[in-house]
Amino acid sequence: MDPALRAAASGMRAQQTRQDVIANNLANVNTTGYKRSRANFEDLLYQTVTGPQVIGGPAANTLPAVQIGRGVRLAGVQKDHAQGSIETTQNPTDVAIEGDGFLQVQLPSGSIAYTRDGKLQLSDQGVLVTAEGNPVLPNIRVPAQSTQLSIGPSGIVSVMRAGSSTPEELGRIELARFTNPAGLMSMGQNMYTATPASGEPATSFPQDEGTGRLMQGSLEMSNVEVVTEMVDMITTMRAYELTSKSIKTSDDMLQIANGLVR
Amino acid sequence: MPPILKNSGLTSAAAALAFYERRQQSIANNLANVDTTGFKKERVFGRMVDDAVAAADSMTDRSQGDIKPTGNSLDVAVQSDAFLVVQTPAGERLTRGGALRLDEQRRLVTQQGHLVLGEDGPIVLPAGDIGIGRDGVITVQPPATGEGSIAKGQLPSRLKAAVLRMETVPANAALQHLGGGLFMPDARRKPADDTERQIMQGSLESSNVNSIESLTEMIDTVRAYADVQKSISVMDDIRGIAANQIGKPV
Repeated sequence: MDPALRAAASGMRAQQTRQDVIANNLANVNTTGYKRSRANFEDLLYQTVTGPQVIGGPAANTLPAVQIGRGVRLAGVQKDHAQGSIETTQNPTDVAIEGDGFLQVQLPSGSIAYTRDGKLQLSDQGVLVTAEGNPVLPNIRVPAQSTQLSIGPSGIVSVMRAGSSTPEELGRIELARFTNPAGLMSMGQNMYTATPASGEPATSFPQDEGTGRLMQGSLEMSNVEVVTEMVDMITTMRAYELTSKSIKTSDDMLQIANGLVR
Repeated sequence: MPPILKNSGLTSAAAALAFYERRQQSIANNLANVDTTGFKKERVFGRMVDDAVAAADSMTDRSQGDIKPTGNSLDVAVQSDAFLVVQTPAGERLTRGGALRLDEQRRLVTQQGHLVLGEDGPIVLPAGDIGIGRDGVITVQPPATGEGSIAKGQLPSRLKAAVLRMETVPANAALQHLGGGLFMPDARRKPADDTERQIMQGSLESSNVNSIESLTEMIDTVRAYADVQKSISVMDDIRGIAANQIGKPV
């Protein structure tokens, strides 16, 4: 009877994990550049209770093996890197990526992180930084007393200097692309780091060879769909309830078994 | 005349208890996998051995699960009796599809990282938009090259990247579960013919466990278990009477 209880418990645990993932998705429904996660499950190893048996001699009368499953486990939590909707903000330092690619961010530790969150701003030195204050790579410094900051679709950043009538080019934003973005590791604050599963980053300019383009004055919203998450939450709760019922039933049977000896 | 107190009553009752316990284990496993993609439920049924003892037999119920659209281009569901073939360290295994992904070498793999096999071995996909046709043909739309080429309407044509290998197993073959949504291929497997190649891209096959049916089975099982337990108690009572009452001097 014990295996039945454990299989049911594994089911409850799986549904709990799924609920954790859904709750996190819903909490980030308004987070710029957030990509929804999905929990995937797989059945556990099967125990062969009796092997295949041959009855009566001829091979045609072989009985199949009796197998009992031992529950369910989390196969993985997968990021869905689908494009989020683009919202116009009119803020000149807001940048949305339409298509493939990540902005490269220099962390204080010196390592590089990747983000789709284009809520950029200028530091006190005039350097283009993310909302957390980490500089965007390659570094772009906007000189003082310049106006009309412009970030083009192909990543060219330019300003108008005081007293000049032509825009001055300051630099060009590069985007990093991965063969398997779903393999990136989330590190919070909308940032990801490269892993062996994601592959090495390949940098290119926006709009080049399948790289996405930049949209100034816009932000990419979260790609969480509230209705889908809500439906998932309902099915998760029901599945949780169901597996709790099989724990109760297994317990009832144990009680009956105990009744054998009075 | 056979001996009155032959043991078979108690033995078969005990075998019945073991059978219902096994059945409950399998129902608990089915219910735990009510949300597992591509899961096929296990049925346990009794078989008469000798004259009275029930033994547990099990089989995998291969009926189709509901198809749930997800919109993810690498989610794949099979809408027929066919299976996809994957390469595991232990050899080729069958699976009903699921949430596939690309590994760091852009090879098509399952969640556990097993290679999904095409007609020509492992499938490596070039960059671009991935389309999987109903017949399992994978095409890739390469991205436009050079600036402004989309505006000029110069999208390169779709490349045929691979064809998913699909196999069928006869309906009466006993499929052995391996966990992780994998099945052991039967010796009688053969390539799926054209009518059986039914792939749905952007969808996942839900578990084929019907929760109401499983709950009913569970109630059934626990009641039957209680009945058998009662019959053991009654048999024990009879023996008690035989031993203590009949033999008592008047």
